[in-house]
Amino acid sequence: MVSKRVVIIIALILVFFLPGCWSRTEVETLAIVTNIGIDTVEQDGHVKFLLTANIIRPPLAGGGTQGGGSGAGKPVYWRVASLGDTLSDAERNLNLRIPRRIFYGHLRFVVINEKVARKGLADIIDYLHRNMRIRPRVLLLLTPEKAFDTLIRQAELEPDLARMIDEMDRMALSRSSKAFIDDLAHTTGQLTASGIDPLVAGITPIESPPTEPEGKPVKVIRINRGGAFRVDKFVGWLDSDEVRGYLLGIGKAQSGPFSITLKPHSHKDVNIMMTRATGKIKVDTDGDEVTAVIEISAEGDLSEFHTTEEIATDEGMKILGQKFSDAIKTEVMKAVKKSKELKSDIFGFGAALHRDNPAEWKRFEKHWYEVLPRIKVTVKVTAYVRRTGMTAEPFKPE
Amino acid sequence: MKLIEEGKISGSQFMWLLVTIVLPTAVLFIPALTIKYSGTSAWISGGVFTTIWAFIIVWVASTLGERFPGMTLVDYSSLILGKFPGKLVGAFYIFVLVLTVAIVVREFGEFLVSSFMQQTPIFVFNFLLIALAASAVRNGIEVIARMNHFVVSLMFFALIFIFTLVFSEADFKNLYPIFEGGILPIFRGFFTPMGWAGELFLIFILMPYLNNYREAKYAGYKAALMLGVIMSIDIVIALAVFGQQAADYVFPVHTLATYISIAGFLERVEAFILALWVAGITMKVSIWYYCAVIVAARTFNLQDYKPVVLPLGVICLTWSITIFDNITQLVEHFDIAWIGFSLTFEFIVPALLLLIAVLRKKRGAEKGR
Repeated sequence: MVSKRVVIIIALILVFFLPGCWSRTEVETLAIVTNIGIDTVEQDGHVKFLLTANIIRPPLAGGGTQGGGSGAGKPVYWRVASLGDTLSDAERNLNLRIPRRIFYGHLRFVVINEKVARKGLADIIDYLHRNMRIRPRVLLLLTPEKAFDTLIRQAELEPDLARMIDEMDRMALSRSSKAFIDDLAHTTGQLTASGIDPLVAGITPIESPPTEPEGKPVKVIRINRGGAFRVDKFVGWLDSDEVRGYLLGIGKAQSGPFSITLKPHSHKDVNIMMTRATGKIKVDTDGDEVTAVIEISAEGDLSEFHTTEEIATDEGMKILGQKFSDAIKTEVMKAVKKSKELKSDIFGFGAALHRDNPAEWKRFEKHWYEVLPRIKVTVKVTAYVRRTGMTAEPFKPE
Repeated sequence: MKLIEEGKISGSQFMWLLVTIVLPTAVLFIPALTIKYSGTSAWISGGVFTTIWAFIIVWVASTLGERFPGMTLVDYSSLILGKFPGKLVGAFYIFVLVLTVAIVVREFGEFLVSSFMQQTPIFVFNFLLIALAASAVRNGIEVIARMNHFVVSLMFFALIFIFTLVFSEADFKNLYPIFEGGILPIFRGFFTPMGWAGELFLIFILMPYLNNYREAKYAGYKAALMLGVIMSIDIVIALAVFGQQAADYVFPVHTLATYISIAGFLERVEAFILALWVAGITMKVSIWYYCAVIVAARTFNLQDYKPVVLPLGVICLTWSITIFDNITQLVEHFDIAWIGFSLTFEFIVPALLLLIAVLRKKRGAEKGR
């Protein structure tokens, strides 16, 4: 029994060695990257990657207890960039400049320059997927300027760009459905699947007038478009209305304002706030013709009414519903038209055909991008206006 | 007839052992390997076909075991084929089992190194796993079975956790078209999980330790069915969330776990999942290791199986390091070599033994133990 006691004592002593220092990583040795930007630069005849990273600014030494003293004026993030032959090379080259280990575990989004995206996204996606720290939920964005410049733009209301984009992603579909930020896993899925192409959210860099009294103009971003791809190459932009048309078509749109013209005015006089929507795509073939039907059903509430007509009648609501579905239809058709123009199958007509009729898909697969602009698309919308808000009839000034 | 070990397990413990024999590594590797060939029909090859195959394996292995109640593999193969060929069968199974332990340990190490701890040498993981399993094996089948009962519940919890939390991301449109390209791709996709489902052949090695040997067949069928259901769900969810691209991930289930995000705060749960998973793989290795040890002890007519534990452990450990040069070899091994090889020891040899036993009208004493 003595031996057993000895064993137990040794085991207990060994416990002290367990929380050891082998391969430890202290948080003070990490450079926590919240977003990266990817550009390409030509140098000595070679195309090199320019990797820009936003890193959370570590608290200044000794400033810990003073609570906000150091953080008041300065942004909490910090931009560094470095060149490399490949993205991994550029990533490690960052460490020639900064003394901390690049840590991707908290990466929130990746901004890709439009020109880089035109050449193809596959290389970048590969880099992102191979890294075990980068999560499949990382958001992807396109920017027309250098990603290097985008990453120093000011975040609004949130302390840094990462959190701002994160919140905007969460809000986009439930507020306006005019923008949609997709993540790495989905984009890759659409990239690798045949018959469907990705749509990546696009940034518009803007210079805003001062945002505070006696302030200077600030450089901010707006996410108001979508970059359509053909296979993995960026081919063109959809504006925010077209993005909503796209979202309605694929059934992702949730809410959003629709301004419509009830009377032949010069301006739009009614607004209907969509509250929910579903969308479904069916594709069929007839000989060499491909036909697609996009079925959408939507509901909305009246949120603004600029004429003095009586509207709170069953008849009035039906008319509004009709106008509402026309507005949806127009938007979807615009997106479809853009998709055909750009020869980018963002709606996934090919994938829908593949699902419903694999044999027919085989026939069209080879020359799908020639078929795409010829697809006859019909949009069927059933939309209802359910409620009128807190007032029934419009106020009549007399 | 000596059993070498006096441990006895109940029918339900036996069933859970069978589940653990297959599940921990199958869930990690099978989705990618089947989706690669069968595409959207992967759940048919990985779930439905494999279940049918598992039923066949269970039938062969348990019928063989039932013919010779209370006898170990080496004993009855000596009875069926004669003393020397019987020992050869024993030797063959030592080789097979040790090899499988080495492969499973390597899978475990590769998984940990590539998805969690890149800096750590794979030797560390393999050594720790073998050491842990060796201690379990020394304690005998009863301890393994009881521990397994507990660990299986953890594993099921982990799986249900992943599947339910990621369910909101699933898009079942990704499952269509079914049967694209006919039956051939489905069969090609079936070959890899076939080897996994066939691992249930261990029934005929573990059967003598069952309280009542008649429960083996039923327990085997239940385990096969359960595995079929889990694998189908596994593949369906991986497909529905990631689509065809799931085939490009090395460990789709791990990627699923990293994809979980509920209400913006329930995220990054994969480390928690991993903790449960490590327990599962440890059990799997322990069971295989145990089988290797008792077959070895019986083949060499030892009185006790404990002296064999350490040497076999060292062989497994060394082999697990040297067997593959890189992870691609590991995946290719399952993709190509594993098919014919697993078919041999999981189906052909047991089936031949059974056939010869029937032809030569050999059977064990009816009384059993």
